[in-house]
Amino acid sequence: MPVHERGYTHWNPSGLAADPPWLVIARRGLVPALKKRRNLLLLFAALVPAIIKGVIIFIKARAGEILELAVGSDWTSLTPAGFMAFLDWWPSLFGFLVTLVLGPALIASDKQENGLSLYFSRPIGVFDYLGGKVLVVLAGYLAVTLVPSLLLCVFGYLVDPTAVGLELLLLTPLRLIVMCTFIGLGLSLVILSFSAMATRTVLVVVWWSILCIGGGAVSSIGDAVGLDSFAYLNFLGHWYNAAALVMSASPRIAVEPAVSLLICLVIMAAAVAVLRRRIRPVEVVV
Amino acid sequence: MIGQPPVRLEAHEVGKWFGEVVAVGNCSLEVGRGVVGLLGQNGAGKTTLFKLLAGLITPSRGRVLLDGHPLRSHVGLYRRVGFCPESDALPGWLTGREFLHMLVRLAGVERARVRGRVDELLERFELTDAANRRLGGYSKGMRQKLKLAQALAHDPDVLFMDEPLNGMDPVSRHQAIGAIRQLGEEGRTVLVSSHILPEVEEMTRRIILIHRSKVLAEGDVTEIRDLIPEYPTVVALRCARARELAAHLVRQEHVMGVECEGDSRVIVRTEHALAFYRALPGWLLESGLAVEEIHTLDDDLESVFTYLTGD
Repeated sequence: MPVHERGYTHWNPSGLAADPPWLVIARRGLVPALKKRRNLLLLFAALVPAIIKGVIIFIKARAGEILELAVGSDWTSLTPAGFMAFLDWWPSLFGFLVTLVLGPALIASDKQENGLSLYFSRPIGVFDYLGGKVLVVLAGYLAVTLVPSLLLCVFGYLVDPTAVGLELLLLTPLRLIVMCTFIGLGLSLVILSFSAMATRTVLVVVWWSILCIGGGAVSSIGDAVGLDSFAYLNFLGHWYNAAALVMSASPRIAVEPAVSLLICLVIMAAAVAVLRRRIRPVEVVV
Repeated sequence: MIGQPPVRLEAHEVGKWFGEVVAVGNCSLEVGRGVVGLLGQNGAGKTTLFKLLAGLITPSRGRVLLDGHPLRSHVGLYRRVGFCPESDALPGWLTGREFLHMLVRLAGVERARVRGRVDELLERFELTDAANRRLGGYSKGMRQKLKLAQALAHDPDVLFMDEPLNGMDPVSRHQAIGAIRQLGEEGRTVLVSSHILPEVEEMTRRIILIHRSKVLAEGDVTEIRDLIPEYPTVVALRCARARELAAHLVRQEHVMGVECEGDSRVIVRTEHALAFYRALPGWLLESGLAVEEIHTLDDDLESVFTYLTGD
């Protein structure tokens, strides 16, 4: 006897208590990544520079200006410029590494496995999909840059008697949030656009490494031989340089921060355009 | 389904071409409740039409509507749609449970019901024991079952199944055919694409036949068979007095030819099988002959397919 004749009740989803699709996609990217020992190690390693800075802040609070003279005031200070100098140091390397670990496979593997039809045969839009993927990389980036910085703000306020609460607990964290989110979002979009263009993850790794490390290397060579215009090729440098505007810090490369900001915005727009073109809810059959 | 409005999947003059290659010509069709087989040879345009109907490819011309709305323009309509792709769209690094869990949640199932629903699907497709194994280690048949399970994750009204039995062993195949038939009996719209005719025949008698990018026939296999006058339907009758029966039948309307095979078998060719079957009891009463067995030899899907495509 057919089920409906036995009193079949159709399940009618209310959708009220369901998770938003972008969150489901983001979790699916993050949870397996956090289960890998290599990634956990990277997250813990990213805390080391913050611990070093924390120790210096602590000693400085006790030893006063002697230590400041020894290690330089920029790096150890709790000012926005001090955090800028800190983030432009090792955390920027960890930022690059974390994007390299999390980003390349996110879209490429879905395309490789023909998984897009599975996603888009469900009630989700292209922005849900992309939002979830961006969140994976962004969360990783923030975990190695913003989180240690915010912890340092709180730590600095607790150990440094000269620290101002409004600055360290509100204004500087806000600047840090804007800066790290801006850089993290930009880097996420670019690496995801690479991932959307590639069918093999290894290609994304190579492209991303060339862009980030190669760009920085070319810029350094230009700097050494007195060719400032090479600084325009410093891909990562532009993001930190643009962020210097938010952090009231000095330019990080030989380019006006406003120009870097413009370049970053153009790069972001291009990445979004690539993603819109490559990720379609309907399949592009070639 | 009782209490639910009927589902109407329509294609209006739908066409799809890629450059100069026409994948689907000018197709118009309507699919209601029950199981419908979408048939065609490799390269006939079957998969393209299938994806057009599922809203996974935009048509170059025409419209595909689910209950009067274009699927892709109303993303919420996908709450009513389940899709089982032909390709192995399974990430090898996830376990079966994780994979289903994600897709059940993406389908909009309430958070509190997700775990129960996943367990239910795993059990239904006999995957509970393998639930915590990575998909990379699944056999082809298990992967196929999982694809079917995810399509049913949110209990959809409309199901698109592209070659759903590929790679299944005979037992799993039998079970899957039963499950698909049951889905149709429950009142769902189930569109099954396949090029293996006997499999489709076990699921349904309703077909859409696509050949060289065009819909060649649509409807019940027997009715379609009846509309092919070039090939008379061949009916075999077993009767103890075969020669007398042959002599009686040869005079009747709708009978194009009769031949005897041995002493107890009569082969009749008729241009109108349904009319022949309707009239046959009267003729037998009239002649006083008893027939032990009636069997149509070529109204199966295979024959219809061959007659229509000429291949």
